[in-house]
Amino acid sequence: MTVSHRFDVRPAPAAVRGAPRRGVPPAVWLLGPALAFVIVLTVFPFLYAIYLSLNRFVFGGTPTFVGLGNYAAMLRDPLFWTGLRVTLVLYVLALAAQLALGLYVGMLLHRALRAARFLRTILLAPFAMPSVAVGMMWLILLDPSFGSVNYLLHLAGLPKSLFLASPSLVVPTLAAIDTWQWTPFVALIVLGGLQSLPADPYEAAVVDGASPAQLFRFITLPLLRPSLLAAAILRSVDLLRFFDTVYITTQGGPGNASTTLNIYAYQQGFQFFELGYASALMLVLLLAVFAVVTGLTTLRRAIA
Amino acid sequence: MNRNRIAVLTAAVAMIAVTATAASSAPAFDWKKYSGTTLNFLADDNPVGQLLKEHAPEFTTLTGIRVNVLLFSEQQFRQRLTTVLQAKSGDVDVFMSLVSLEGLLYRRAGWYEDLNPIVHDPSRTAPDYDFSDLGAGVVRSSIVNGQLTGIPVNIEGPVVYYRKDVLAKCGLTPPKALSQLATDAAALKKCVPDMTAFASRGLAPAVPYTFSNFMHNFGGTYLTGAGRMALSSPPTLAAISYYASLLKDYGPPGVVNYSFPQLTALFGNGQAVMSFESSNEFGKVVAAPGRAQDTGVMVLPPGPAGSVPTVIGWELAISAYAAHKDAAWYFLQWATSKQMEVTLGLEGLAPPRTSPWHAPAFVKWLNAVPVRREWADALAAIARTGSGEVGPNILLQPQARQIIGQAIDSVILGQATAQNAAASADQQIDQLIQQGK
Amino acid sequence: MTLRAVRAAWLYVQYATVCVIILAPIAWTVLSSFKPSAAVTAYPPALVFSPTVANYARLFTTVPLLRYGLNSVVIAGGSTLLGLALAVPAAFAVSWYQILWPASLALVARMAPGALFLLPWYVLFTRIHLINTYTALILTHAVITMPVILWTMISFFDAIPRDVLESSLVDGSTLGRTIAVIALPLAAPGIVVATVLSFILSWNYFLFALVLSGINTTPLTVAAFQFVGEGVTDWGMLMGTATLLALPPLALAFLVQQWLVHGLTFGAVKG
Repeated sequence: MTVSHRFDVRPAPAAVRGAPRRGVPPAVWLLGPALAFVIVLTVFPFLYAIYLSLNRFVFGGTPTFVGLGNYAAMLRDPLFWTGLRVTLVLYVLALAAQLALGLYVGMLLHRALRAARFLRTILLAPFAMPSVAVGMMWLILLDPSFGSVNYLLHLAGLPKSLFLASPSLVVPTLAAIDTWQWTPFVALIVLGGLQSLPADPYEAAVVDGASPAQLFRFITLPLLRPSLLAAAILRSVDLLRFFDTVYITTQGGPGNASTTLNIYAYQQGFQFFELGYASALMLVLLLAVFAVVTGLTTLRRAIA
Repeated sequence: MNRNRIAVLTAAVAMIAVTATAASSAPAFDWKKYSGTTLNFLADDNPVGQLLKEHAPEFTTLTGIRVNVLLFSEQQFRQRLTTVLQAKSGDVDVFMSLVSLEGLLYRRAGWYEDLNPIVHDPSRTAPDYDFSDLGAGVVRSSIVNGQLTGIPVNIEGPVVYYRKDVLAKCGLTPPKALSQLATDAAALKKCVPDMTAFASRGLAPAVPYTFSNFMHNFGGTYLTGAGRMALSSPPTLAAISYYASLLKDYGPPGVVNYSFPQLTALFGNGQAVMSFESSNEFGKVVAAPGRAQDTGVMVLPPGPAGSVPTVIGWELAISAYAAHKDAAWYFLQWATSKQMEVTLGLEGLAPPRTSPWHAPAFVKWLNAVPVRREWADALAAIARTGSGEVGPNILLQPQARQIIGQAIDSVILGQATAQNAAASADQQIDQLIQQGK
Repeated sequence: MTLRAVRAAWLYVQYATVCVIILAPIAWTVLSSFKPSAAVTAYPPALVFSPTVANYARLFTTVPLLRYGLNSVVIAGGSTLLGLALAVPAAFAVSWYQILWPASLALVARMAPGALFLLPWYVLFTRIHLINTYTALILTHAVITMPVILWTMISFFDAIPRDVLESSLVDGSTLGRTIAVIALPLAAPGIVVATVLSFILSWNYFLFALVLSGINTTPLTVAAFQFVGEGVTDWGMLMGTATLLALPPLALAFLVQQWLVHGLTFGAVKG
């Protein structure tokens, strides 16, 4: 069984064969606007954040230059390392669940296409709802005393749980909430990918006598890898900056069991007014996300 | 002329004379002086903000000044406010401020317009404003480092909401002493095991609001005379132990995430016997079916040092960078005037002035439902004897409150003893105190 | 039963399970919007109750839904369109020239916590007098939508067989025409997906609007936050707001899904 040669790695064409040379290379007008837009809008905030992170000041005081002092303090700060750990554990749990379930749901939707248009729409509802409402909804549903989830567990004879109030369960619970909310996002990307798949490989494989499982493993999955990786990259960027649900439900608690790095940076900046340290934290978070995304894109290149 | 005519003429002359004298001695206060201006009011989403937004059109009718009320929930409100003020922008003229939390910080940053010179200036303040009607203690809390940072617009404090019927069913009366709270809770736990005996805040940043009342009733303080943290001092430590054990043994499961939303829901739906939560939640609590009849309200029972309730209040402040400071002052006067406070009082907002409490309309409203009277009495006690110390009065108070809350949480969760938690928190906050210098 | 029937039944069982898990909380939210606030947190939770439209009535009278809704549509729609205009050509270039760094660069803006941008952007937009304008909000929201569209479209452009595009260029067509006439139609499902996703993301994104919007450009999301606060928490109203807020993006998703058509690629490849 062979798949289309399209998916072999080939060197990029130096110039497009047969196309008349223009004054401005096509790549410039294709990429230029997007890149210029990003740079113009974000360069000032990044420079400003760097400037803030090199200083220490509280409101109304004059900034005191501390050089890399904030960063050194960060390395010594146990809450920074807690935040990093919480962020990474949450990230891995949630990403794995969302990719697996998103793939599954996407394929499910692809199969039952005709009746599905309304259903496909309504399945987007979890992430069409504003985050404050989603957070509050789960706050009530998961409340140990009056929440419906514990009520159902009680009816089924199962023990009740503290969910978000348990230092050990809070992170898996948050991962589950996020998975509930964003699996439709991944599913939609996978579904779109499935719609674009060419028929040739399938037809050839069926002719060769392949089973559905083999079709999935050797054709569908490899062809879906770009979509899955795109979904993984987009979700990674959001998951590593996990904020909304924690902010609305636990505020980083119990203790610091759900204090992600973004929550910690927010606390430092907007609740404790430590602007310098908060900026340093945010820049470090940016670097962490950048590292993960680079890792994922390298992976993409390797398997393309 | 006949007698009647003389009488009428005399009266007429007298009236004209009196009017003329009055007119010449007091220039009429011109409410419409700044007509046509537009003010930007950044409000926190609590009863104060919502009611002021609702009634703002009345202000426009009175003065011709348009008010853009931007209402945000507390965290968002603070985010926007601090961003605007940090940028020294004139985008906001009037804002709400909780001096007990951020007074020192904002004062140091120079964000408040000092109202001292304005309040007593007859050319800028209406003659019937009567600033002295505002309780002395309430005004004192708005003065930070000599500056009158704003005008208080409400008072609030934590109160105990309790189920009279459940207490009676279990043969108990409302606890008269702080120590009795634990014994009553234990009895309730046996009598009505399906209900939560005592519930209060466990969410770390929110805990100091309710904890401070316990601390003051035990006779504890946050800071020593020398300005160091005193959580390990015997009375404060006792308060920490007591508060944590009450919630751990008799509180609702998952109490470490609890603040006013869950507490009101829990008490409202009949699952809690006693709930120690903000007086602001009163309207929501009695709106739940049945609660208006079976609920009682009281301040926290007195402890070894008596009853020192926690009292805080929002104030209306004028931004130091405001574009329309004079028009803004008109808005403040109107919002904190006697009439306005009676109106707001009728809608459940406790006024910081003394006179509205005696206004006939307000008294009638209070007496209409017994529990309202109890709520009013509790607030009167809070206003009279209350302490504004929710967290240690240091520059970096918000962070200190978080540390205190987390320390108490660790005791509730059984992760640390009260002594260890207090010692560790003392150390951390002492560092903050050094940083803030 | 035939194997075929069993397979079909199994499919429907899976379908139903997925729907129940995803939709049960949504159903709870919608049901709660028809209850008075205190009833939403009642215990035991009541499935059977007498519904009330009081929440919606109050929403329609106290919140300027139409004006806020219009603002939200302009902002979300504008930023999606801007994002499409910027990101679709860029995605094609990334795919065609097989260079990934522009995509990563575009994503950098989304890697930073949103709070990092708040103060600098507020200062910037105040200086150029763009606070309380749609422009500021559309531009800043496009920073959110553009990378999403970009990354979504890359995999769709990658799925187009290279020889199809090259043969078009060999035939003398310019790159621009090739993109417009061949690549875009083949990647249409991608554009549909990208539009829906970015519209929803922008619709619900509140942080930038928090500081950059004013009395004339307040989006609908502000209304959602209004019912959470000390003394004013109203679960029924909150759930009602959530339900209303979710409707426009869902309506959009429903309408554009007809372009998510199966098999659009096949004809082009065979030719």
